[in-house]
Amino acid sequence: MTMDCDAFERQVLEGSLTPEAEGHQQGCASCWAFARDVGVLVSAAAPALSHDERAALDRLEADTWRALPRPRPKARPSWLGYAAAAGLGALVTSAGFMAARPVREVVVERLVSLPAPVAELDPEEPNLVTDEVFFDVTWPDFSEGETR
Amino acid sequence: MLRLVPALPASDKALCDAFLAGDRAAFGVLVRRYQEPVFRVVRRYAGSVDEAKDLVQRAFLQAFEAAQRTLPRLAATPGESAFKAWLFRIAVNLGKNQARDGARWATVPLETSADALSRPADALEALERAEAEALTRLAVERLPPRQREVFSLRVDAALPFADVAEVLGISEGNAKSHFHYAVKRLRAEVHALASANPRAKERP
Repeated sequence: MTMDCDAFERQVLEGSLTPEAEGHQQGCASCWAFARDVGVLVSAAAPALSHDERAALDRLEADTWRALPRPRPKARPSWLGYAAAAGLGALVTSAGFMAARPVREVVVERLVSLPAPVAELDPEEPNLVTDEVFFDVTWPDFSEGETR
Repeated sequence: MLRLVPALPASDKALCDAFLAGDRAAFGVLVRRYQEPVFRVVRRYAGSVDEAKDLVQRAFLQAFEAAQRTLPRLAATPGESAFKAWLFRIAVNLGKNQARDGARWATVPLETSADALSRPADALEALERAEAEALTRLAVERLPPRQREVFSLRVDAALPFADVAEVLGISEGNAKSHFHYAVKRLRAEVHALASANPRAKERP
């Protein structure tokens, strides 16, 4: 199979030439010029990094790390924390035991104290019925309370 | 006899797994591995070196923040390039947003002629090279957006066509086709620009 110019160009653009394509390039002036132009174009289109760009890239990793969210430090349990946890655990355990303990029946005795019986009153008692004392109460006189 | 065998670099997949398991240093390795190709791609969207650096940093920060929910899905994807394609997709999208907000595609030559001339090498040759690069960059700017994206990912990041296709969400054949048209168009454009500029006539 002979290689035509279109197939050669495709290989140049894909970046690798078969021996057959290299042979074609030797005998075809336009394909030779195409390959040369593509090489020059590609190298001119992607120039090397300048000094400033290289310096910016050197700083980039460190700057990126600085901008990244810091990992949240894992909380280290302190002795105080252990003690608090143990206390809480003991509290919960005892509460559990209390809740699980069988309930004793409590008998409540009700004590009632009754007042002493009152003697029957006799309506015919003289003090209450006939032996009454009446006082005549009137408005005070105008002269009452004067000091002269 | 004991022979020391240099350790093979960890694969992206292994580094992603390590990162998900809590090893933040694994993410650092990924940053070092991809910061330069990502920079080369996004500098086309940026107006300055600082802007390009900022874009790369934002791409890595976004990747870091989305890693916990995205990396497990990528790990299930066959092939080694899933992380790379995902990272470049983030970077290209950020770059496109930046270019849209700033209404520009980098027109500032990132390596200036003054830089080139300050080198001890042949100044005239350096100047010609700088001019040829400037002409080529100008021609790249004039490419249709999709061709420009494919060209940049292929040339700046040296991604295989399969990865270019994955980054842009197109088929591999489509990516090859865009690249083919882009190069042909660039070639014609650079020839036209060079003929208008007699100093750069020798260049394509």
